[in-house]
Amino acid sequence: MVLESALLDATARSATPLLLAGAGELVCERAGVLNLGLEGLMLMGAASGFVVASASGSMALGLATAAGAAAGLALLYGLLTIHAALNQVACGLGFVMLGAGLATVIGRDAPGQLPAGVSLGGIPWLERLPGVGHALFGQDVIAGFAVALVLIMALFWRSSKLGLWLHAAGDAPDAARAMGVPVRLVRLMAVAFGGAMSGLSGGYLSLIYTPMWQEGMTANRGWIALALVVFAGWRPVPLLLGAYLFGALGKAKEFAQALGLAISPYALDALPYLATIAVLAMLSRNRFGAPRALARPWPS
Amino acid sequence: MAEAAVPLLSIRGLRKIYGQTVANDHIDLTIAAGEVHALLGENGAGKSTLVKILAGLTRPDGGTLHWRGEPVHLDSPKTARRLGIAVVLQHFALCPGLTVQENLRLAGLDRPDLQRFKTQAARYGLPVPLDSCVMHLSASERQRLELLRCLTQEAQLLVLDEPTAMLGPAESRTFMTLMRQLAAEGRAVVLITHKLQEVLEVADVATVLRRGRVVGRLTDLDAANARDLATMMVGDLPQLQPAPRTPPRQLPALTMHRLSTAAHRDHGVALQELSLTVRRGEILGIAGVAGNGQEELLAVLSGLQRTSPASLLLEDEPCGHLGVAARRTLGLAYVPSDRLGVGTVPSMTLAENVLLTASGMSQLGWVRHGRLAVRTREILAHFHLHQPPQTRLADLSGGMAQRFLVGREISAQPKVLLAAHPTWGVDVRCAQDIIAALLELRAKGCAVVVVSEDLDELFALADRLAVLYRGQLSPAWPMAEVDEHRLAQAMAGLAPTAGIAEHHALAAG
Repeated sequence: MVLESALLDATARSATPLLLAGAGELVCERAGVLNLGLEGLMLMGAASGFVVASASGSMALGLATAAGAAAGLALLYGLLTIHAALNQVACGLGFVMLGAGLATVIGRDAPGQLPAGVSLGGIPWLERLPGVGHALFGQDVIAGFAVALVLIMALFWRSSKLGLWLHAAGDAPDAARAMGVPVRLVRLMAVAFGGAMSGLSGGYLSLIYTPMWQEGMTANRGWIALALVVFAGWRPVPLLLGAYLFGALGKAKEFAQALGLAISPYALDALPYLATIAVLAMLSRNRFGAPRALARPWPS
Repeated sequence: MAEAAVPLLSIRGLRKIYGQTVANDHIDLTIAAGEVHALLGENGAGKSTLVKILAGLTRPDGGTLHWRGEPVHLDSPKTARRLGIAVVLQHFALCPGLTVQENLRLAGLDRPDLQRFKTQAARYGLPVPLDSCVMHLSASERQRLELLRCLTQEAQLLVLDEPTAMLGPAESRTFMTLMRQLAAEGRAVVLITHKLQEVLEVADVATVLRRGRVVGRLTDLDAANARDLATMMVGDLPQLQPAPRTPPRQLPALTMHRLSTAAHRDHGVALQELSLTVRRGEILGIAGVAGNGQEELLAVLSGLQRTSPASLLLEDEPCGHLGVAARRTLGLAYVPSDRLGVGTVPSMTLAENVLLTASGMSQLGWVRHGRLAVRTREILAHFHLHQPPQTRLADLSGGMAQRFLVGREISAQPKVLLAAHPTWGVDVRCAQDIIAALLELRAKGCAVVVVSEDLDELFALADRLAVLYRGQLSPAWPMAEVDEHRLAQAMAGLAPTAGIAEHHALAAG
């Protein structure tokens, strides 16, 4: 029982950053904007969140800074790709490097670790829920927040005005505009939301998961989150399942140890990346569910 | 025709300039409640610009609009809708990935509105499946959806851009009755169309646009005739000379033999044992209401979809199993209905578009640019187009692109030319050019198969006519034997088609 609980905790911790970044990118892509810059935005969030949290001693302020800084950078990306209609692939790749570079500058003088006592803590009531209670609410609120966020998204996905606006902007921007949807604004907000979630994901990594700041510490999780959106067929609930599946793969070493299997730890560490390639290869055969206007400059 | 003292909409001196082009130049237009007002004009006459301005999608550069006597600025689609102006665009403003209900909610219809939508649908007899995904709806269902949405939103002025372009004759007729009904209820309908016959049947007033200006207005359409309107549109209408026709030769050029396909996906039509021979020097027309297997037939004839070898013969070569390229080599050319995207690559130049299908334009893999330019100029000159070969195809108007596409296919000197509504959406003069070119091709001994929903086009071209209904083909009748009665029956599925007859024969035997 203790072992299972520990494995569940570990899975939730490794799934949460993927889920946050994936949820942001899902909204962004549903609105028709492909943001390949996740990795850069996450690093930006990780560095700025860590610096602010260690200086102020407030975890909440750190996480808010992480989300805010990345959202600001994402807004710039949005202005360039939506309003100046630049190529989204080229621009997105550029932002991976820009984000990483800015993060290096910001985190240059960061302390080695957080001051003691900086923590969010769990939610006393909910953490006693049987099963997933401790994994989602016991360690920190972010894991629970990420799951709740995606469930709320699923609820609003196609049954709220905002959800339909997202779909319309990403599917048929011309038609949406004729129906009175402010396409550019919807897209810009979606990109900013995506940025904030990536930043939060980065902040989670540097403040809760590790916790410390190091260059390149996101370890390609941004790319995995991008793959997850495709894996989920651009839908929230499959995204949740996918993030936890990939999260579990990321903890394959721990699982193998618990089960007493003797498999090379290096091979196990490679699992999430191999799974990403497999998923992308499988799904590139079938673009079902992809927003039709994804990554196309508009108006064309 | 109700004549209100204050017109519903009055437009004075409207101007819109795109760069060097004056799209609308001092347009005056008055639209009264209770009238069907036809807006006619060739491609590029400025109709689309006017529609976009009325929809609130584009702002004019000059001029005034008065709605019920009050000056208004149509600065967004929302403003237009709030006033009661509803525009049904030719390419419908619908999100294909969402369901009908979701699209309605997106357009601002709430739950009570949805109830009214259903009531309206029942009242006008326009069924629309509410839970279907829009991408699975036919063109006429999408149109119904758009129209009902406008009516639910209490539209007083309905602007319909080429509403019958993709409808069959029966559907068009129903639609025109509906337009009269809407006008009788006191709404105003602005009908934008190329089809003169429609205007004469349904409109009270017709305004003709040419090169962005109003060039004529006919208020008493009973007295007017199609020729007057056409003359206004074109400026001068060349006398249509019926081409002297030689009888077709007896040699078969294209033979379908029990050609069948399975319905692919849930909304396709299965072709059922089509058997027919097209001879050299003959134009065969295939009529039918849209969605009765036209797309499937074109796919299987062009080679986009393969079947068993013996079900299709080009001359006497079995080719059912061959793909597009192999069939081209055998002498098949294809003018698809989607001229931008399927027929051509819009982002490439004219010369490059010629290169894509032409043979003998390369040596050891290198493009022979000189030869290519000569061929491209020949194709353009055939239709008196003077664009340089390096023009991007996307910069051509719809009519020019279609002439270029037809010209390119003809230049391959095919044995069989397959054409899907070749004159759809192009202006009168352009349509005549294309018809003349196809007749000329016929005279040279090429067999031509025209699949179309436009009967005018088929009558102008065909030697024999067959009707496609639910994937079954009627016998091909010589044009002398085709009358309205027989055609209407076949298109509505009342006449026994070849497939059914055969089925009965089998059952009896």
